[in-house]
Amino acid sequence: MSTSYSDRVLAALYDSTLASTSVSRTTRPTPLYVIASPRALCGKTFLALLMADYLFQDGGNVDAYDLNPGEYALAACRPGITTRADLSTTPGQMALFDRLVANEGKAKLIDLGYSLFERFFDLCEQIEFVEAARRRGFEVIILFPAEPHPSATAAYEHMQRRFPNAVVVPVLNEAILKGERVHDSYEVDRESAAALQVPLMPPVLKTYADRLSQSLAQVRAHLPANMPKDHALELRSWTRGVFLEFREFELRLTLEKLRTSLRT
Amino acid sequence: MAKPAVLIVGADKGGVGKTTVSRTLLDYFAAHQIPTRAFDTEAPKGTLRRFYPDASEIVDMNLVPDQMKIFDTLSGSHASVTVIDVRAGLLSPTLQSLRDIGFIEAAKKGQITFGLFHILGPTITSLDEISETAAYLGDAKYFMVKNFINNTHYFQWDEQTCAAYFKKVKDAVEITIPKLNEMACEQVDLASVPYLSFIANKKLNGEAASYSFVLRGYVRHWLGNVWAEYDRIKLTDLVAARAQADSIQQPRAAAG
Repeated sequence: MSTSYSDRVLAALYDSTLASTSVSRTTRPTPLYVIASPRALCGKTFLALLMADYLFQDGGNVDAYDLNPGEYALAACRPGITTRADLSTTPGQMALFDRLVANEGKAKLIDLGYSLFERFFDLCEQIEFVEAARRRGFEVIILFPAEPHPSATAAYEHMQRRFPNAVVVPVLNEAILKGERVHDSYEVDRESAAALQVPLMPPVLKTYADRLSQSLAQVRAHLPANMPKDHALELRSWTRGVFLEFREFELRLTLEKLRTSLRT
Repeated sequence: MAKPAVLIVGADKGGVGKTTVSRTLLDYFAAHQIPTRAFDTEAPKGTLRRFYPDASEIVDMNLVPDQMKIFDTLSGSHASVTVIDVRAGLLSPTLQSLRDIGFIEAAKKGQITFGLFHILGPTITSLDEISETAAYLGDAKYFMVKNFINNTHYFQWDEQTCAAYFKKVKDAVEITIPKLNEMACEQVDLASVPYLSFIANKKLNGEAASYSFVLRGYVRHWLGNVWAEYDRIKLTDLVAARAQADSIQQPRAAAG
């Protein structure tokens, strides 16, 4: 980014309203997840649903945004926490981003449809969304479903370069990768962004999980009544494993922030 | 000591974005802490005044007292830059008046820095204006501005035609004002604040506003691109040019 005097003046003015809302270095930032890939059918919405349920557990709260015009699958599964969004009009963009940057202490999550991948990140760059979100106390985390296809690996690398202030994390979903090893194609640029593993959910469990009226977080507390007990226990165990993976990721982020604050 | 600088923003056609360009200039100089005053010739109501009530004044360029108000105060004013937003259709007559009162000559002698931001329209007629304007310019800095803020298409200009007209003015420089999101443009207008205030989320009185983050971002990105053009043409250097050794003589106001 150019750092001419003119640019610095504009940057200072743009951020001038944040002086009173800046977050101290020791305050834990509010997570803002973007589940994104330029490719279809790579498990984005399933990943978004898992993360939304994880964030919602134990009294947590999350605002989710479904950016899949025409489908809105996340909104259909989790209507209580999900808002449908669209970027095709300026009012739609305002309705999304003006709400995203408002930090009420609630985690935020975006399920970004593949058709809006370029448009969304172009807009983020134009309005400097990631930097603005960080200054408002958010940690912007881009969860990227990893695939061996060259367009996916290229997009992942481009994302790391384009948004150095975001945490770009590859997600290895066994159901998508089907045993294919892609670690070498998804190098991470920081320790906290180590790849997340999502194990394969047995098909029979997937069938039940798709029909669940409760969140996976609630399955941990109360086994679903309309499911055979052994399947319910298996689902609970599977969920616990994934949530542990997410928890460890959060701890890595916290540790990284702590190390940084101790160094400065 | 810097010699006074006068920047005229004009067009011989309405609706091409003169006042928009004037606003970006005023904001640019404010950001670079260059004292600036502005004269809005859209008498009686004015168009610039609503955004810069403290820095601008409405004048009628046809009246000698108003001409004196502008040009007789150039060296005495606290402002080192004077921006004149010339009413649509009056660019050529204004330049003729300036020639008649000796202003062009004073600029030629290096007593005053004179720049013209000629906002071009999308038709060939606009290119004809260049020929007409060129006759008055002397050694003035001539900036030909293509304003795309409203998605104007300059499709009637083929390269050869363009080159033929542009060559008529020595050292003419082309400036491009990019497109700005329509809603952002509209909201800044409705807010009646300078672009800088909108970006800073402030009202005209300095109080905090609640403008959309998205629209502020669009305006910031756009203004950054506009200012990059002004940086490219070294506008701050132009207006900071030092006075020559000869004493500054004021141009005489034309007889009314």
